[in-house]
Amino acid sequence: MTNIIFIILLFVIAVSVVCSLNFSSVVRTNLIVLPIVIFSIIFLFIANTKNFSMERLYPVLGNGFNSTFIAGFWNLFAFGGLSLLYFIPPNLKDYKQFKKITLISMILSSVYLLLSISITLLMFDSFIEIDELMPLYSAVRYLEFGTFFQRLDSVFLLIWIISFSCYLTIISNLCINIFRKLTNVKNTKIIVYPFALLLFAISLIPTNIATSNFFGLTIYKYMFFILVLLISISILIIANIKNKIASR
Amino acid sequence: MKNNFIKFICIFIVFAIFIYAFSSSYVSHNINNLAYVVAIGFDTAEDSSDSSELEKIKVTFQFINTSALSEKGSSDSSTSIVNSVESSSISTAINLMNSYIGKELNLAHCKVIVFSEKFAQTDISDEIYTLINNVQVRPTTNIVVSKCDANYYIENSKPSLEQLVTKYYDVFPNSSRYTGYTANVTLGDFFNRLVCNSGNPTAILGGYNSDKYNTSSESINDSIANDSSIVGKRGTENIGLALFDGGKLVGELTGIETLWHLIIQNEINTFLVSIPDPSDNTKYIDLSLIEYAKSKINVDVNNGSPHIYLDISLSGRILNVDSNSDYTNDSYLKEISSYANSYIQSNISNYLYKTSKDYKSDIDGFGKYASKHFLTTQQWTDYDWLNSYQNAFFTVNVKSNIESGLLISET
Repeated sequence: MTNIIFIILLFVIAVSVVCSLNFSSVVRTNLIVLPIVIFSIIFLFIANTKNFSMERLYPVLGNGFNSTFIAGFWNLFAFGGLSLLYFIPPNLKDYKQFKKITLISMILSSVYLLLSISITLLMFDSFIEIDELMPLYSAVRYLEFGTFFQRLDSVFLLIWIISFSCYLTIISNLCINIFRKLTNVKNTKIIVYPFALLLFAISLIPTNIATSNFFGLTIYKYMFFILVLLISISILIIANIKNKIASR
Repeated sequence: MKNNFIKFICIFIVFAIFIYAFSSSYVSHNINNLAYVVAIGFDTAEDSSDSSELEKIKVTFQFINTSALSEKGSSDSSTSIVNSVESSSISTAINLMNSYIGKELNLAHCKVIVFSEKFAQTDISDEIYTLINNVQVRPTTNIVVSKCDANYYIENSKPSLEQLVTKYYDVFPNSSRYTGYTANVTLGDFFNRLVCNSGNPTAILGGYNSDKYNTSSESINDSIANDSSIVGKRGTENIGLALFDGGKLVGELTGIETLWHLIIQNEINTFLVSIPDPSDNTKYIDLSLIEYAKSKINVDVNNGSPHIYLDISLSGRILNVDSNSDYTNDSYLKEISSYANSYIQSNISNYLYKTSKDYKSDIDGFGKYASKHFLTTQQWTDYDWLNSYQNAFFTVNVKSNIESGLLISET
């Protein structure tokens, strides 16, 4: 089996090469990859329609009203991607398009999320009881068109690997830009390679799935609520109050 | 110039690292270094009487001999190799077989997983969980319960109309679409039903095909694997369905009962039903039927015991013609339709009460229709559908429209 270090290195090198170029290179790469990713999920949804059963949506409230809406409020961290919207305005050519871009991004993301969840919910009874590592991968394994087109897993894995690399590139680029502004460094290229090394080192920390889940489901969850929701709303409120005081 | 040279050196180093990193994967997954398993069988070990030892299973592997395949075709005996091993688990069996065969086993092309009847009567949940957890084993692999040993079943599943056994394994479950005497049950379906609490799993029922005609069945419609009226060159046959309660085999269905099951599941295209001739009770009329609309299922749980309502719509034509046939007569066609309705209705009711009262196994998955009446998963779990199913009542309504003969309507 190939050592995990080489697989992580693959992503890190791709990220560092793209981040050392302009931000427009990142955007153009994503422009090529995004339609393929959206098409893949729509294709997966349509191709698996024969395995869907609407009755799997019941019971409607699942684990109960409290568990879904009150205790489940913390699951809003799944919408953490919305935080990227804060970083878009400085990179726009025309700031007035920001509202339109936000709306389109949110609609596309919602549709994508809805399709992904629908596939696993309508196909499998078992994922309520079983914790599956990659639910969409399980759905892909059911795809068969006659006896010729079978085993399309590798195609989807390739698409998902590329889309993950694109996501990692955007996140790394934003982190580098934030650091550059904090430290007042003009040239980003000298920051890219240390960041890549840091990314490589941190990705080697989790030694098993439990540690990864802890980072992803616990630490990231609270960071989303504190940094994205709490602090940004607090800044908005404070700025509003300051504005009102200043205008008096 | 200097920068370009440094870039070139960096790119070269990166390439060298990745060539080194991924070259071992290429070698280990080379087609010549792998042994492709096309069928796996599970039997109870021959000598598992010593209680101090770990419980053993006998695992049979059927391999395809890729080197024997050629453009000119090959003899059946040289393309398929069957080996068995006794061990404590599937993974140990694979490990032992790896060392014996000399090549690494690859389960990516495994078409069929066979459990012997004796083995299936113990709990096969562990084996199913292990198989579904395996990345190589496809969820579209068929599950068969064999009334004979799994080893015998695999050795004797020799296709008579195809060269390759893999082609036979691909094709035989498809006969369920036009006969209804077997079903296309996959590992994924089995696992879903095993884990959820709204239905019970099933498996294809297989068995040996004897070289004598069977005279023990009361009716021609009672054909079942191991006990059918078929005599053929192939040593095995697949007729009927095996019923499970959780992971344990609890019963079996005949070929015709499997047909009723598939009609309810909407998993059949065309099928044949023989009904008594209204004008002459000594004769049978063969009807070729299709599902005119999907079966409608409604479950009512308001009065304690569940009440299940089924509406089935069929449309058909008459297959057999004799010298006195007159299928242009509207009243006669309506009479045949009425006979067909009552015949199919009573048979489906009998089948449903059999699964409910005798086997207590909801293989038709009525539970998922019942779950609509509950708001939360806890309420649904507390209702305990799988135990409540044995108290269920059924109302079956069949509406069939017999249109005419096929080519000839009057003689």
